[in-house]
Amino acid sequence: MPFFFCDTCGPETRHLEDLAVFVSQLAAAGFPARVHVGSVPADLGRNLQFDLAPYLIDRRPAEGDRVLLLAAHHLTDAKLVALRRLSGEALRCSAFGTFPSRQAAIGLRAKLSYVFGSEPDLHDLTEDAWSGGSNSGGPVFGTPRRSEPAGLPRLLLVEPDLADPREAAGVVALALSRRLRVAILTNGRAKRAWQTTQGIGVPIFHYGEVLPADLAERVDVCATFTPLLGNYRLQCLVANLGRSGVPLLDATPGHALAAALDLFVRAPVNAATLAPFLEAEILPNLAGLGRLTADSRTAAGFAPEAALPDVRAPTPDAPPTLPPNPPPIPTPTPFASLTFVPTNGIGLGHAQRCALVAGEIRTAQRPVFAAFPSCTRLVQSYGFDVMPMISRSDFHRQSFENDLANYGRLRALTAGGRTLVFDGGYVFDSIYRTILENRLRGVWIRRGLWQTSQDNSVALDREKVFARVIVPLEAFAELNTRYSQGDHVREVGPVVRQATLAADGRAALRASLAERYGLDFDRLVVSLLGGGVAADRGAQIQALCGMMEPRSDVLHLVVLWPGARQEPGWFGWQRTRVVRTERAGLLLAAADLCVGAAGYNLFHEVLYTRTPAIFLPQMGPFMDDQRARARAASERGLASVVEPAELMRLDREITRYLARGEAEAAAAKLRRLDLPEPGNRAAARQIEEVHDDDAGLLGDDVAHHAASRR
Amino acid sequence: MQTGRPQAMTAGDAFGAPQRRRRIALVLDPRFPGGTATAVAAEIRALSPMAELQIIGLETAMFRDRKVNAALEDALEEASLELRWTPPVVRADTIIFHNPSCLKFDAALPVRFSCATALLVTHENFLRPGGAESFDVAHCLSLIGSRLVCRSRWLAPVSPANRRGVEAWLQQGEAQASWDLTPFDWFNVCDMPLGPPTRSPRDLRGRHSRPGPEKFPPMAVMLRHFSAQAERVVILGGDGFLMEPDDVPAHWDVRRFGETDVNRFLEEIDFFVYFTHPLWRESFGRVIAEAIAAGKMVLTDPATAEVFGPAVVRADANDVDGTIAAFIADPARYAACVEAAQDGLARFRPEAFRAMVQGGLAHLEERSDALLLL
Repeated sequence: MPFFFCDTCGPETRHLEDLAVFVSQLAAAGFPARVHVGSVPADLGRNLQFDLAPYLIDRRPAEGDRVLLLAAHHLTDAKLVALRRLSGEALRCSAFGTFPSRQAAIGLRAKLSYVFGSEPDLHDLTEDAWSGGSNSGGPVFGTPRRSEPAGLPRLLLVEPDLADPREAAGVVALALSRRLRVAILTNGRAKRAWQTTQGIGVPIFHYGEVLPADLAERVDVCATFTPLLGNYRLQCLVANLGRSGVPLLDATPGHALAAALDLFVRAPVNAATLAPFLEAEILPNLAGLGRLTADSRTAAGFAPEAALPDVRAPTPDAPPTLPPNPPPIPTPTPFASLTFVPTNGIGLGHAQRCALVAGEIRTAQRPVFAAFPSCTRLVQSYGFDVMPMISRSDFHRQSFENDLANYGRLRALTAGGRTLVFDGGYVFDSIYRTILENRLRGVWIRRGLWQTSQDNSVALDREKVFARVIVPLEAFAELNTRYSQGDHVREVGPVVRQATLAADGRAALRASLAERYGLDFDRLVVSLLGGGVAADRGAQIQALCGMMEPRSDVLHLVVLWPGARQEPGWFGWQRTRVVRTERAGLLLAAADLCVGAAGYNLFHEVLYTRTPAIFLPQMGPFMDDQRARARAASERGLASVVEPAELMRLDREITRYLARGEAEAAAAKLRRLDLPEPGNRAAARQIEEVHDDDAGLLGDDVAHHAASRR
Repeated sequence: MQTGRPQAMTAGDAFGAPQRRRRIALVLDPRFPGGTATAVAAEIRALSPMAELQIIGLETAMFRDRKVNAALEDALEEASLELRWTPPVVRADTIIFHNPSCLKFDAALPVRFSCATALLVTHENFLRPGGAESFDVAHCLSLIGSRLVCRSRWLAPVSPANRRGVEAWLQQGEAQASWDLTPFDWFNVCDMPLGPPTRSPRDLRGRHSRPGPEKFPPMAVMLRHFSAQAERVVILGGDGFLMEPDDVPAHWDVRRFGETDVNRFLEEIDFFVYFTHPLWRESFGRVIAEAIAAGKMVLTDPATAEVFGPAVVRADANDVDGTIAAFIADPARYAACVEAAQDGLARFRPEAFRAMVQGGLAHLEERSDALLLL
């Protein structure tokens, strides 16, 4: 298939950013845009790598392909050599740049002709009202967005002066309005400063984290407080909005934008006075203003055929032609309409929670999963198809190298799909970008009880792309903290695997275990310390085996997930057996005592199966606060807490539970415990509501309502 | 020179001025690194016995921070001439502007020129193959034209192919109307000593040029010109290849421009295989003349070969290996062909050049004088 090979002669990072914008704009317009891997330096920032990743190609251009060159006025000898190396044969080339003299254009034309073997088409952007002279990034063009306007209009404020306290107060006041929803687009520094002082109450994007075509899908009114010169990304956003019929407000001092471009409407120049203007002048006339915007002369000039007059998309058997206007957006056959993506975390909790919720889903098409290798078998055991994702590795050059590949996989899996459900604490770039780019309805299953020392600001910042946040509650009220608020945040009861056994069933299972292992026992102890990629608890398991050995009335089962690491030292004990199973819940229901970590899933399984437990909490820097969870149960007399290093104390606690009646006492309290209704089905209903809604919920995906609007 | 008009008096005769040597000013940026400077150096040697020469140096933006070409410095020393940098005014009977393309990056020219006859020697082709302009010709010509007071102004091509390009450019617009085309070519002086061809040619191939991308055909073609069949390949001026050394075949000996003395380089080869990018062409091809003079067989494309006559072998990318193999198999034919090419260089010897200048300038003056006396 012929491609547009896009490249830039600009030497700076901003030129590569412009290239990424250009390529994404071409792709949104239906052109087969690509960037050769040799054109991309190895040391790019993360956002830029994600921007470019979907478009990288490693074959060299061939006959039928076309080269589109940005910032051609920066062409150097080194770039000439690189381009010459790239182009093996005669290629058509369109070069965009600003040429201060006729000689500059003639010279460039000659040089490029020697590289590509044919005379290039030069496009001088000097006279372009957008270019601002030599700072031009590329040709400004746009594509109408695919989604419909939201029920509650979404206002995007572009670079308000957030450092000005009065302006900041005005933005906050605007964000409290019940008539619209507000988001901010600004630079990275201003965003960091804003979130430091204001928190995450107002969704705020910095330029590098979202491409113009994706952001345009989420805006119904745009007010810009900054000129557009020299900001190719913003120019393209305006082009997309203009062609989409989104009213554009010029809030710059002097209203130079409205004077130069007929699609802008003059507006008050500060956020504080913008609110009444919007109420009185804009919101009541949104549709009419949108039509005027789309019909404007400037918007017409944003059409690809106007901005790229000689660029025609190539096809296999025909000379390159421009797609019809508007270009058709190919809708891939959705392989995955509803996709669950659990993070791998430390254990298997996210995957299990997703599987439990997915099992309750009643949508027409069965959900599919994308999961890390440590979780795939568990998910498959619940009967779901799984697309494997790639785990982090010390062998990767960058910490997010795996996420780049996962982005490609998720992007392909969910193309044409509708809903992506993510369960995890940190929202990966791959998740964030896949939701944005594939216009998915994002649902975030977000377990709470984060450690107080954790900085989850990045994850919470990315909440803005989710249509709904489902918070599975902890069983004990004091453990529940609200990290964000709004209509989109929905709390459900604990999502927990419920393996209940009647008395005779429990007795039968215990009898079969005695028969299977050839051991008579009165006490069944189950240790669940080694699931998935959990922290190494080999020493604790070994110690437990030793502690159980003198107890002739005990059967100790070391329960592991299939695939979990096991050590030779666990075998050969008289009272211990190692069991690898996906159905640990049943063993738990039949046990007299559980020794395990205090992760969300096991903790709640212990409570809901009413099993006495000794918790050895795991406390890692990116884990939940297992110690607090275990203490909550301990303070109620339902369980005991032992730090993993306290092996002597663990021995004493086991004696207390098995020999001194604590197991019976705890079991009695557990039987009397009043627990909330499990949230498995409620979570599934929330997802179905998002997935099945045909009334434009998609427009609500930045529905990050201000705290006071609940 | 017969022009068909009645014989006219010169202006000097008409006003009773005494006869004297013709005052000629050569104007150029003396920092040109390649053929232009070498050609002008040879021209200085050729003209100094017959004319009162001034050498005027322009400091153009094109060669900022570059040094004066060594060949030019030598020629000036031999002729006991001094280089005058950007004088406010240049007065002469005839002013020869060499390679006006050097002004393409300048917005102004700080020198005024006053003469009877002005010639612009169009060393760089005005148009490239396919018809695209090589540089902003109108801009360069207007810079000179706006500072020039003279009786007649001429564009002097350096070869037939160069002439065709200038003619085509002159036909393109009104802005070009103030310049006429000389009826003769202001060819490069080729005063190199002739070396005998080898009697036992081997497959020793090489090429020499400035390192610009216009001087080289696409890599795929280069690989066919300098295939692994060659016993030796020397590419002098291959700076661009050295920027991506991984792409260079192991049997190529690539050297930077100026890294080896040209005569020494020519001693290392028997076949000078010289092709430029198909979208660019030499206006004269002085490197070819140098190779012929050194006794080397030259293979080049038909258009470039035109200047040097039939003894330069026309080839294309696909028949270089076969052509060379055939000459190696027939050493006598090799020698005869090289010697024939050397005979052809006689047309560009200094004495031929002097004759061209004397006759040509007299003819131009005659034509302009005739206009005055109408």
